[in-house]
Amino acid sequence: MKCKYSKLINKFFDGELEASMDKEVFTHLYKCSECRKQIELLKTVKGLLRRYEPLKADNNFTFRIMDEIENRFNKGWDFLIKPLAIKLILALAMVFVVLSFISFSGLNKDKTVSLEEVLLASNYTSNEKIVLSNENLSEYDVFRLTLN
Amino acid sequence: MSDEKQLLEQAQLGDKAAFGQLIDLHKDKVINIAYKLSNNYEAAQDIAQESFIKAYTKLSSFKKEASFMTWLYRVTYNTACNYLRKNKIKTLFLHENIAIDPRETPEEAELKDIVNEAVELLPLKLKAVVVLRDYEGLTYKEIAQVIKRPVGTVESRLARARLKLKELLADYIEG
Repeated sequence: MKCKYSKLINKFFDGELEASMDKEVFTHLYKCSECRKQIELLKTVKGLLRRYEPLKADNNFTFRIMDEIENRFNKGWDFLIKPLAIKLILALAMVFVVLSFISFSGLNKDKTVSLEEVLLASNYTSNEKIVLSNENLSEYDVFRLTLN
Repeated sequence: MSDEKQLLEQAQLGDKAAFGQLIDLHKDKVINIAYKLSNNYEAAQDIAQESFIKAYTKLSSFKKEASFMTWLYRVTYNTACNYLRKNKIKTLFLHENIAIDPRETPEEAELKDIVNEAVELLPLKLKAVVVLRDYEGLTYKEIAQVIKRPVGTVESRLARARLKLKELLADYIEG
């Protein structure tokens, strides 16, 4: 049967148990060979892993990074401005798309035609247009006239 | 530590020389983590360099909720994950760029390779917790901050990783 403390062995080994539980497991180890074996295995594996010889960065490491930073962000605040500029362009593009959509959908709706627009669209000569525009006609009248 | 705090504050204000000193303080740690995660010397150099550049660009977002070192480990871990995902690198067990300890016997060198291979066989997420705990000595809470997962996940991943390592190194352990 598996010992009820076995689930706590990893945390005990790593010093991650609360003080009272840590002491309880510690006391338990005296009488449980299964848990002691688990601890020994963890120690062996960790010991093997720690045989690793740490690497040292070469002498030019910091210089290379600072040089790369200088190359990438040589305009001082570029690294902040560039992302902001991209966001601004995207936002403007979105606004443009939304406005285009709104104005396009508005084309199908009834539209009030101004007198000037009617005159411009009609076949009247420019002189007639001036006369018509000076007369006190309603837009409707003018529109009807253009249809004749 | 207070020196680091001061350097950090200066670097956050745009002092590049201060950031250079922060690199000097942490470059060995970062290169070692990058190496242990990639098991490839060239990749470790690239990951370490990219991690420091990312740290430089994100320095203003560092909120001091964790230590700078933990935050830097996190940047390195994320950079390594992205790098390893993008570049399906071949791991090398012969490292001509790494100094060989003259006191090391052939048996010890072989054992080192066996351990390296065993760690390399772990999936990245299991390997990461082993590296951070057993090589770097981080607490569960710090590891949780690095990998951005709950402490419970760290515990279970570490348990699984150690179990796997015990299986992989069984011959040596029992011998």
